Amino acid sequence: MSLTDTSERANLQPDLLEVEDLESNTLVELFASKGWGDGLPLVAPTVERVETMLAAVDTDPDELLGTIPPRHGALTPRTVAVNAVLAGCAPTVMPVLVEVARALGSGVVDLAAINPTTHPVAPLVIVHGEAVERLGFNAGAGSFGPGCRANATVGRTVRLLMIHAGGAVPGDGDRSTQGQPSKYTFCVAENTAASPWGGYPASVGVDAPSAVTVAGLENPTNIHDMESDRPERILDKIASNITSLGSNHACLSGAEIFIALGPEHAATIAGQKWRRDDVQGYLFQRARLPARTIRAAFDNRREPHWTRGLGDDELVPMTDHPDKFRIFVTGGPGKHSQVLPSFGARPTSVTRPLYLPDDK
Amino acid sequence: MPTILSPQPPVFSTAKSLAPRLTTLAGARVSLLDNSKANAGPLLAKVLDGLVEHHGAKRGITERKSSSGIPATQGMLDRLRAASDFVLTASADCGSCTSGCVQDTVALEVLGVPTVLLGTDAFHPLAKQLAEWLNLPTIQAAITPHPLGGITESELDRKAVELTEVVAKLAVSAQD
Repeated sequence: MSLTDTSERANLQPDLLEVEDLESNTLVELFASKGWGDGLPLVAPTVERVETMLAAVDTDPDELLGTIPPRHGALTPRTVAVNAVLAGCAPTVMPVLVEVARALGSGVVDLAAINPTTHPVAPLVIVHGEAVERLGFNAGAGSFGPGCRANATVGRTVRLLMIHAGGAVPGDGDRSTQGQPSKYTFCVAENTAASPWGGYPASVGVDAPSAVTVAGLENPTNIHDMESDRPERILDKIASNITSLGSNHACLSGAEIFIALGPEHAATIAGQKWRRDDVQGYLFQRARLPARTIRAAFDNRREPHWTRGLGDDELVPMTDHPDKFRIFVTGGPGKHSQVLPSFGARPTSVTRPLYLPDDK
Repeated sequence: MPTILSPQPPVFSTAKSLAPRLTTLAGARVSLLDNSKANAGPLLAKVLDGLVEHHGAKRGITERKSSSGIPATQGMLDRLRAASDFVLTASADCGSCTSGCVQDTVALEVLGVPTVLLGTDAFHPLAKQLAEWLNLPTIQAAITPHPLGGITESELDRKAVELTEVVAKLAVSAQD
């Protein structure tokens, strides 16, 4: 049952606010007094700067793209542009942000749960395809880390939209017990050139020169394997990470679990003729715990119908289908990969095609 | 003075109203919506026992969600509407489960079924905030001290006794 009605177009224009000056410190203090912002320096969203941002996309600036729960603030390209200016974006990334906003506003990403939950979880943006190089995203060394304006500011814009449109203010509409660093910014690019299996979007049925994926995930956790020349040894380490009893997918079945393979691990795995679906199938088989172990760990776990009949000694997969292990390649040289645990019980990722102005 | 554009867009949510409260609990069919959180089901069952024993309520149906962080399915809501004069839902004692409980409470009220949400004081401010954003700030909640999970049976019994009387009042008369 939908509790919001977006069929009627209201006045979606943002208010104009008078400020003493346009200095970052002035804005930070003003925003803090209103419960806005992320605590970091801000760029003043003047009308001129917002118009420059909007000029980078060929859309109606006041088109309703959806709402961000739990506050259900209306998401329009203009709202996105205001927050993109605040975050320090270059206008060139606006086409990415508009598609990300459509994904966030679609209702699929489950922000009504992800924003107010006590669980540490945040929407991750993955940028795929030609947009990565053309817009300056980092898919190489340190791709989840700092130093790249496009990654940093696109992720930060998403967080500011969660706060300003979604009401995800820590302690208020964001009730995460401890939060997580990726609630500041959480954007990475796929290293398609280093992927032995082609780009991720095709694996979920999206065929376009560029694309964006949005998924509610925990911080990435490290998988270290410096020596293996066999896929099984690398993937067994990944499986052992996924079967942590403290993860949400141990007690909530059916999750999507993202695996960010480093290029060297991916090459080792593909070198033995393994395909992406071989990796998914292997993890589905190996990331399992004895039913007895799970039952002993949780008094109140609602067992899904597909495991209720299992005996205590039988093995329970950590999600209900091999496809829910989402495999993509990112990063530079080195023998590390990362697992991104999911929020929980149902698939919530969205992959949307992305067309840049020159594509048309 | 220079001007900037506000980063905070307007809330997009239509106005709603509470369903009429019961005239009496005596003979009313009371159903349960259990979100699978620790002690949610036992607490609901104990409160229902109290409403039956002390206030003459009749037992309705029980629906149990597969995950606390998601709202009830339309099928669950339809079955509850068909089988109930009054619904109790629990428990709002974390972030996403409070969001799910509030969405369910608002949905049932919109369907015409008076509903009371059981939650803890630590997450009551969140429940009120979420209900306001969904444009039904007057949803009725019976609140107990945090937490609900990891407490003893006797503590749960004591909470159930206290909550039963609060629920009995909210079933017939909405409080501000």
